[in-house]
Amino acid sequence: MKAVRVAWKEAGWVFGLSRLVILLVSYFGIVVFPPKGRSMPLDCSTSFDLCLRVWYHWDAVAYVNIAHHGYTYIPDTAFFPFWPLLEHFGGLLLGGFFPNSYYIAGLLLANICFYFALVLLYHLLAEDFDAGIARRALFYFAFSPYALFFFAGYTESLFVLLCLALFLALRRGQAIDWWLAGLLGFLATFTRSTGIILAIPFLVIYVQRFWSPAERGLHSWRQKINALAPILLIPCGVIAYMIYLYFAKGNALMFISQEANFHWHRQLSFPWVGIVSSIGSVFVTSGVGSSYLQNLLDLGFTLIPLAALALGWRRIPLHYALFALGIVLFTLSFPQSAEPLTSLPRYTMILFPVTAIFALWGKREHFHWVVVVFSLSLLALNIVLFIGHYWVA
Amino acid sequence: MRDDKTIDDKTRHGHKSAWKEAGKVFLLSRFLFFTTTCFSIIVLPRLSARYAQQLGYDARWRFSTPAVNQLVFSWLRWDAGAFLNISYLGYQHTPDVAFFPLWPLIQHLGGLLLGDIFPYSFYFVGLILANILFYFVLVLLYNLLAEDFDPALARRALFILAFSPYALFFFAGYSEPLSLVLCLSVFLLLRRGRPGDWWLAGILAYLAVLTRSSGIALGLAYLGMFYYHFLQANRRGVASWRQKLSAFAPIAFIPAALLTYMYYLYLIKGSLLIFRMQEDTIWYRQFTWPWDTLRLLIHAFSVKTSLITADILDVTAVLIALLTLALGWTRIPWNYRLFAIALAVFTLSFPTHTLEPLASQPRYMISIFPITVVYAAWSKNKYFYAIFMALTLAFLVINTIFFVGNFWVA
Repeated sequence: MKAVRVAWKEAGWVFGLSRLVILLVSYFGIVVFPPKGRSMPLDCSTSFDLCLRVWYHWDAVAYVNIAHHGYTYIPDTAFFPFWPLLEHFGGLLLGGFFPNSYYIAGLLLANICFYFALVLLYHLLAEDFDAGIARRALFYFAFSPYALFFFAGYTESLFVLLCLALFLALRRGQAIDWWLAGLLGFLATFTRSTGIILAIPFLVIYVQRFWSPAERGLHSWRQKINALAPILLIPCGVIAYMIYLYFAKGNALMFISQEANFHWHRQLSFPWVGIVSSIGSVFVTSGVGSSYLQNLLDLGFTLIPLAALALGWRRIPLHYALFALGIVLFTLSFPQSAEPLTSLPRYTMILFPVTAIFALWGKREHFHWVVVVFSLSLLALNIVLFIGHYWVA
Repeated sequence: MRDDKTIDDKTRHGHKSAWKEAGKVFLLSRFLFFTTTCFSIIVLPRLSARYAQQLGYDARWRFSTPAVNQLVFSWLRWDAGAFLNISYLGYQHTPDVAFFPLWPLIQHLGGLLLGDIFPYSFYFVGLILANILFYFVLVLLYNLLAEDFDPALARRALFILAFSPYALFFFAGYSEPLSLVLCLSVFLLLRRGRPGDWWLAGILAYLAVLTRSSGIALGLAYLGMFYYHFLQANRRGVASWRQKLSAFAPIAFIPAALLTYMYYLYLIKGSLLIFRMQEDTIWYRQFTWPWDTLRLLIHAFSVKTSLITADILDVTAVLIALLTLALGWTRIPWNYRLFAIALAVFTLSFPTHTLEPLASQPRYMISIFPITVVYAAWSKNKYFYAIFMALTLAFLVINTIFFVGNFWVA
């Protein structure tokens, strides 16, 4: 009971502080920088609605559109349905006014999900490591350079919450927990296609729990099958969406064709193709412009988690490491044609095993401060860009 | 003999730690300024034509590539420009006499060493010297606090100072690092209190006043330490009158610095008090009683102008600093208190009679290092420390973006 209270408290203050920092930086961003396409900064006393919508950009707009009119705009099928579905219900509860009800519902839900994600992250790491590491990890997670996407109405908060809940269910490992984990895996895959990678930690824990030499004889076949069967629910998230698309649009694979053909131009490639192509662009691009910097940041925030994972591989449990590697390889396997690693920093920020590695290294005070200073300054800059309707990730 | 050796070893070890701890904090904070500057130059102009225009505002001296030009001159803003001009031209432009002479004089000598090419030599030397001096500020602060408190508090204080919301003025070619390094040296010498130390402290205080008029606040700290060493009941009979006189006499260096500058101004401009007149007529900075400052503030808030955000920030920064001093009063030694209160009262007594009455005050407040000490003491609580650092870091980045973009910060 005490541990639960500690988790709520630790998550609470990190959550509150990070929201305060995000709101303060947003305020200064609004006051000084005009949003894209305008010559003057917004005056919130005269255009309150526009100030309210400073977080209504990019994918957040797509989700609000889906939440309100469903998949009427075909390219939107690239976005998986669970998050806009939740936003739809939230929007209805807030009056059903388009777009504000759905947009605000998205913001509220993303933040609520993120708070719960922090609570679960603390629980997980405090038990798998220790309370000090869990505390540091919460701080790194909430102030990571791209953590603004845990604030905006994006899927990241929900997805990471589902992943963490699955990890906790797997660790407890009672008979019902395997089914709970399967269900959470289903919802995660229904939120983002990358959720399918959750099958890996599921399988690893299953093997450790039932097939390790010490455990092999302790469990009946019935128990083993009961624990393994729910893994099938994980790909069912994708299958359910495909069935929906087949009935609604006549093409079960429409989400893949839209990702490939619409302006994303994401196609299946070998994982290293995007990295090689990105390194090439860094060297080929002449002059140090903003697209050069964008490319450099995308590359940096793809390589940093990979390097951390390689160096810290042995310091985290195997299922953490394989989950993180799986997510990175999966996302790297779908590079964009123009900016190969675009959005990668956002996709990799949910890698809590990498955060755990940083938290382990953060025991050294100076490393801790390097991470804090670097992350917070980049987070502030990214917020200013995002609320000005400029591409971040 | 063995005891002496142990003390010497401890001191040597303490000094080594100071260089190391200061070095780490220094490098990390410089890295933050460098990356934020690059980001501001490369990415943020996309956000606003005004920001892009502001970036080029002071770049009268052009490199062939605009981005390089903006990057190189991104810290030539506001007072840094005034110091640059004085260092090259002297006080030709009369309003510049409001800036005290030691910092531009050092910049002048450094500029000569770097080839005497205007503005490059003087601007770069200003940046380099400010940063070198800030490194020494960190070393001295660590030494002072590690002994007056403990090494853990000293370490926290370094982070708090180097990443405070207005710490960018320890990076720009402003006089803050020089002023603070001199104040800290005076404190260290007065604490040791050997016969030669009083004279050295007097000379350094003289230099501090020649850097900023607020250096005069050191007089109160000096008096306090003199009382501590010689006039306390248990020490009264220990020193001879001659020793007491020798320790007290150097306090005269403090007003002497002011007189030196006034005499110099008399020679070149024909008026002893021209620096006060310029402050008054150009910056509208006048001696004002606190209740009148309050009236100025009420007026500033009642008139709705674009300065309202700046006013809110100024008032918040000053109130937080004063509140910290009040709440942490008992946590710092009395010589720290005297210095802090004297410096705060002195700077707050000269508000600007404009719609931003507390303009620059947040910057002046960062030199009141006892406030940093209070924060460091409170930061023993890890929650306070984390909250404090997250907020100050966010503000530091925002202020740096604004400063580089030639917006007024403090």
